[in-house]
Parts: sequence; structure tokens; C-alpha cells
Amino acid sequence: MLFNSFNFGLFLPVVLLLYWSIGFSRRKYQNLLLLAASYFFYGLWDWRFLSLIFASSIIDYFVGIWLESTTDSRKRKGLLWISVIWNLGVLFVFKYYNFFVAEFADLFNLSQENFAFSSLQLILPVGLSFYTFQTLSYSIDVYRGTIKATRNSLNFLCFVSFFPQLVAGPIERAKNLLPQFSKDRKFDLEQFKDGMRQVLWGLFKKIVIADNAAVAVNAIYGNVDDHGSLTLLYATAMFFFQIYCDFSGYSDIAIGTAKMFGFRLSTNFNIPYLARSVAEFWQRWHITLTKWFTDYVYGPIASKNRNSALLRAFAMFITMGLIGLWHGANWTFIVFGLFQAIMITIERLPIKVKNSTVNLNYYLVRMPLLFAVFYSFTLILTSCVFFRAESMTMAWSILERIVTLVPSDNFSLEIGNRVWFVILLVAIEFFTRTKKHPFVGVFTKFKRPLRWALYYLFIFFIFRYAGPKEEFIYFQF
Amino acid sequence: MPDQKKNSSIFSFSKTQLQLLGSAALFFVPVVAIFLVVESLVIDLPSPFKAIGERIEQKGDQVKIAVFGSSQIMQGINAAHFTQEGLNFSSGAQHHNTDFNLLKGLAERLPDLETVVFEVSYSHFEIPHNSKHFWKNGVFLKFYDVNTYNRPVYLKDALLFPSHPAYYSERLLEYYLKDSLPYRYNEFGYDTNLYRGKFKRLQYNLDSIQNSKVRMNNREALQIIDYNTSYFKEMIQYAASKDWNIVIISPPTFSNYNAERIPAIVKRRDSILSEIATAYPAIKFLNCESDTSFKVTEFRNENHLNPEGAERFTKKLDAVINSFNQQP
Repeated sequence: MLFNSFNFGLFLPVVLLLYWSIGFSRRKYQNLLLLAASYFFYGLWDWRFLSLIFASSIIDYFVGIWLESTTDSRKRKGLLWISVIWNLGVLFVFKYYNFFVAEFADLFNLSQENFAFSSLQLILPVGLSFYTFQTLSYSIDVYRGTIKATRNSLNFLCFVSFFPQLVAGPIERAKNLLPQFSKDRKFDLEQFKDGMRQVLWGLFKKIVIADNAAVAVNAIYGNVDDHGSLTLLYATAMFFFQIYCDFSGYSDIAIGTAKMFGFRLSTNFNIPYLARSVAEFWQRWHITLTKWFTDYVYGPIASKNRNSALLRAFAMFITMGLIGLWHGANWTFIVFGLFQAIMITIERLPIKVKNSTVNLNYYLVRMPLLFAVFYSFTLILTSCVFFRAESMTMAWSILERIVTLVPSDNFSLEIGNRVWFVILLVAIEFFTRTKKHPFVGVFTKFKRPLRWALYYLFIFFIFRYAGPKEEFIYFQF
Repeated sequence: MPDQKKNSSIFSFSKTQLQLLGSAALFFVPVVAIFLVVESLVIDLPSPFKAIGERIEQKGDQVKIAVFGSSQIMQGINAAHFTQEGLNFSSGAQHHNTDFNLLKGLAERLPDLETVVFEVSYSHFEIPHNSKHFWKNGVFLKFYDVNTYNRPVYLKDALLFPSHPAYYSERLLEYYLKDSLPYRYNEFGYDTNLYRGKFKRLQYNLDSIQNSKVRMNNREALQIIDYNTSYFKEMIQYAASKDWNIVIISPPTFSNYNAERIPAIVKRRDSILSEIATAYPAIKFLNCESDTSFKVTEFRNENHLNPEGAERFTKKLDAVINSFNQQP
């Protein structure tokens, strides 16, 4: 079920009504309802893969309990490995097996006939990369002793499958989300209304901006050889706004929906195009994923020798390479990640200036915002070419055409005046950048008639200027 | 707020929640009302699908000819010029998968059907099929009562406006506010006012036309050709199993369009068609791509005819269809 679908428009009010109307043994039945709703939400896409979510939940639930019940370090490591092998194993089989088999066969010039491993005809379960990371982090945290294992199986099943963030995040940590299932939820009108506003903002970003930007991007990237430098640059910028609005729009709807159920989810985006550096970009883009990799990959490697710049750089390359690979089984994603690693490492290289040591970040933070944003945005757009291109050959071809200034004789916006919505988005987000989402202050600033007029205007935008319906890009990850 | 924890009833709402429900109802009533008005205005818009749907209702049991194809056939065939009752179910960007779904869905509603006409234009086999989100699925459901979704029909499928808000918004503005909708559909759903286009803009000047850029699908897509071909053969097999006469047509295209074609694409297409001709000898072909009898003033652009051209092309097709009856 998609957030921007008619089905969800019916599903959400029904679940909300049932959820808040429960008066008897409230918390338990609310959690039961959430679990049923979450499994229904996921099952509508493909019910067979509910077994995977259930298996992941049960394995990590018992791993957590067993980890806490033993002090034997060998046993504890063994238990952790069960969780790691299961979660990453499932991910590998469904998402990466075919890629690695094909690359291995290519590397050794093996044909299908004399190669024992043939490719598998598998569908990638929606949201697999998100919930496996969420449940895996629980086992690691219990192993590290940063959280206590839960003994409430219902709460844990809800934690893994909570429908607002099940298929595309934010990737929640047990420390934040799990205790919320154990607490009584009181109906907070302001929080509920704030959730509705955030959902409206998310829908606007997804339906009006991302889906329209997709039209321009698909048209231009679909015929790269027909287009010149300016057109490809425009399409790449539009692609950035497409994935940003697609994914952050989803996060806004997820966070807003969770608020309506009385839950607080983690912030996942913070206007990434205003980042002054590539490093800062990753503190503003898919924040929960960056934090996941920082805590479980970068941190453990870099902490082996905190004084070694080389080790930190190595950890950065591993982390960003894996972040790239997390997005998809293709060299373009790996290069996307490694490109970021190179830029972040360069930004952190020490520069000696008059007896003191600084780095590029030092200057980026101090220069006027516009220049710093120009720097980081140019690099991010360059990496976007790899993200969007279907192959490395295509990515190089696009970059070559952009750099060699191939004339754009047939330049066309492809979406006409709808491009103004991107400008509107940037303006709104810039002027409300200190807020969690642009509608946060609406309640205090405007009286009801004006407030409702504003909501109606955005609802009008959504109906009138909806782009052709596209699935959320991050579902495929 | 009452202490709901101690509440022993299964369902209960607090005062705040009831207030919210009231406000939400108040807020959404105008949204739903406006939406319903817009939806009904969309249904009332003049449209070829609506005209065809009405024709099916009135004369579905007399229809002998059904034509399927893309915009080239939609604009190139005016069913009013057939000597027998016929309907043209073609529409812009419509591919074989939609054609086939329509054909299967309409079979029962057209009990007297004798001839089916399929389009295979220049790069037809190398263009991907319509996606499952093809916006006209809703139109076909509404006006033809045919499910082309390849899945069960949901409540939302009955709504037209959400299927393509941008398109319908433009049409609503043109028809209801500006009164500038240029279409004039006849009872067969053909737009008899369809002269506007590039060639008219260039005043049918041959030099200007030859110097203008040709917009066409010139991408070779070998990865989809096998699938598209076998799908098309399945369509042919289905039509043959119903004992219908089958005609495969390629509409006229202007010389500057033909000059831009990639010979390999044409060769692959022709080889598939000759394979089909061998397997089904009864099939008739009408390839007008290089037919020089079509004048420049009969085209809208390089690959679309205007009503004058459509009349000539329809009559040519009609002659081919009638030749089935003349066979011993």
C-alpha cells in the first residue's frame, strides 16, 4: 500500500478511529491493532513476504533474550552472529546474490553452463533493507549492553513492523521506538494536528514535486544522446529534487502518521541542499541511515586507533561504499558512495596555515552560505549522475556531455511551469529552515480561516498539479 | 479527558477527540464536495471514449469492424467512412497490451464482430508496452466497461480525474471556462476538426517541412522485441481462434519521417510480419508508409493524418476489409 494511494486514504482514518476509540485494556489492544494494521499494510503488497518480517522479528526477539541471559562471551558472540547472518543473509539473497554472481562470472569469464551458481528469479521484498537494519541494530545494541532486551513479544513485533516506517524508514533504533510501545499513549490534539500537517507537506513534496520532476528526468535521461550539457545538468538537478522530495516526502508522511498514533519517529532529513560540505550533507540526508552506518560500521573501525587519519579514511571508504551498495546492487551505487568518501576525506585533509592545522571544512563553514552551498551542491549533483544512471557507461557519457559543453539546441523544461514548484519548495524550506517542517508555526501565526485557506491551497496543488503516479524510489532499496 | 484506562467499554472517544472529528468533517466536506463536482464535470467533457462508449451501447450488436492502435490510427481512421458498422478503439500511446485487453473485454459486447484491425507501425515492436499505471485504464473502465488493469477493479478506478489530474485540469479549463476546446467528435469518436498541427503551422510548405526536426521514436530496443513479438502473436492467435478476419496496418508517414527511419528497425519489423504472414495466410496487410498518394495537405505532421487523410486511409482499409467478403 502506497502512502499516496486511495487505499491508504481509506486505511489510515479507519485504523486511527479504531485505535483511539479503544477503551478497554487500551495499550495492549492498541498494539495488537497496530500489529494487525502493519501486517495488513505490508501484506497488500505481497503477503508471502510477511513470513520474512515475522521470522526476522522472532529470531532477533529470542537472540535479545538469550544474549541477556548469558555472560559467556563466546556464546554471546555466537548469538550475535545468528542475528547478523540471518538479517544480512536474507538481504544478500534477495538483493545482492544475482549481482555478485554476475560480477563473479564476468570476472572469471565464466558462462552459465560451466558456472555452478545460476541467477535467482526473486522479487526484492519491499522495505527489506529498512527493517533488517532496524531489527539487526536491536541485537547489536543488546549485545553491546546499550539497551535491555524486551520480554514483550507483541511490542517487539510492533517495533519491527510499525507500518508508518516499515517500508522506507526512518530506520529507528530500539532505544527510541521500542519503549514507546510499552508506554500508555495519551491523545494529544496538538501532536495529532501537527502530524496531519506534516503528512500534507509530505504529500505535496511527493505528488507535486517528485512526481513532476520524474517526468523531466525520465524524458531527458531516457535519451541521453539527444541532449546537451545544459539539458543534462537541468535533468540532474531535477533528479536531486525528485529523490529528495520522494524520500523526504515519504519520511514526512511516516513521521506525521506516527504522530497521529502518538509516536515520535526520528528526523530523517534536514534540508540537505543547504549543506556547506559533503560531510554536512550526510548529516542532513537520510540521517537515520548515516547514523546507523556511523554507529555500526564507521565507529568500530575508526575507534581502533583514533589518532590514525589513514584508518579514519579507510573506515570512511568502507562506510560510504557500503552506503552506496545499500542503495542497490549496481556499480553505479558503489561509485556514488565512493565518490562521497573521496570528497569527505578531501574535506578533512589537514592543511597547515601559519602554525595551525585546519581543513577545507574550516573554510567552508566560514564562507558565505551561497558559495559553500554552490560547492557542495555541485559535488552532490555530480554523484547524482551515478545514482540515476542505469550503468557506468551511461554515467560517464552524461558527465562527458556535461563537461564538454555539448550544445543544448532542443532544451526544454519538459514540465513547463511546474518547475516553479521546485523554486517554491526551496523558498519555503529556506525561510522555515529552523523548524521540523514548514507547517509547524502555522498554528500560532494564523487564525483558523487563513490556516485552512493555506491547507486548501496545498490540497488544491496536490489535486491540480499531481504528476504521473510514481512509486516511491526508496521502496526498491 | 476521561481516564480511558479505567474505561471498561470497548469503544469510547474523549471530548477532544470528538471535537477533532467534528473539525475534520467540517474541513473535508468542502474538499469532497468540490472533488465530486470536478469528477462529474470531467465525465461530462466531450471525449472520443465517451462517444465510442455511447455507440457501443446503441449499436454494439451491429459492429463488424474493430480497429486497435495508437494515435496514428486514432487520427488516421474515421469509422464514419467504413461501409459497415465499425469502431476505432485506438488512442494516443496505446500499445498492443492495451489493445489486447480491450479486444478481450469487448468481445462479448460486439457479438457480430467480423474483422479486427491491428496496427504495426515503424518501431512498434521496439516500444515498451503501456505500464500498469496507464492512465486510460480508468477511461476504458468508465466508458467501455472493460477492465484493462490486469487486476481486480477497485473503487478508486471508477474515478477519472485522479487518473490524470494535469490532463483533465487543462480540459476542464478549456471547455468550461475558456470555451476553447478544439475537438469536434463525431458519433464514432473521431475528431473532425483535427487539422491543427505542425504541417498546418508551416503552411504545408515542403521546404519548411523538410528542414524541420522530426520527432519520432528512433531507439533500437532489442531487449523487448522478443516479448513484444510473442505478445502480438498471441493477439493474432486469439483473433484467429474467434474466426475473425485480421488486417495488420501501417499508417501513412511523410517522406521526411521515412528518411529518418533506422533501416535495421524496419527490417526487423518486416521480418516479423512476414513470419506472421506465413503462419496465418488469411491475414491481410495494408502498409501505407510509402504510399505517395497521400498529399502533404492530408497530414497533421510527419506521422499523423488529418481528417482528409483519414478519409482516404479509411477508405483504403475499407476496401481491404471488403475484399474478405469477395473471397470464394
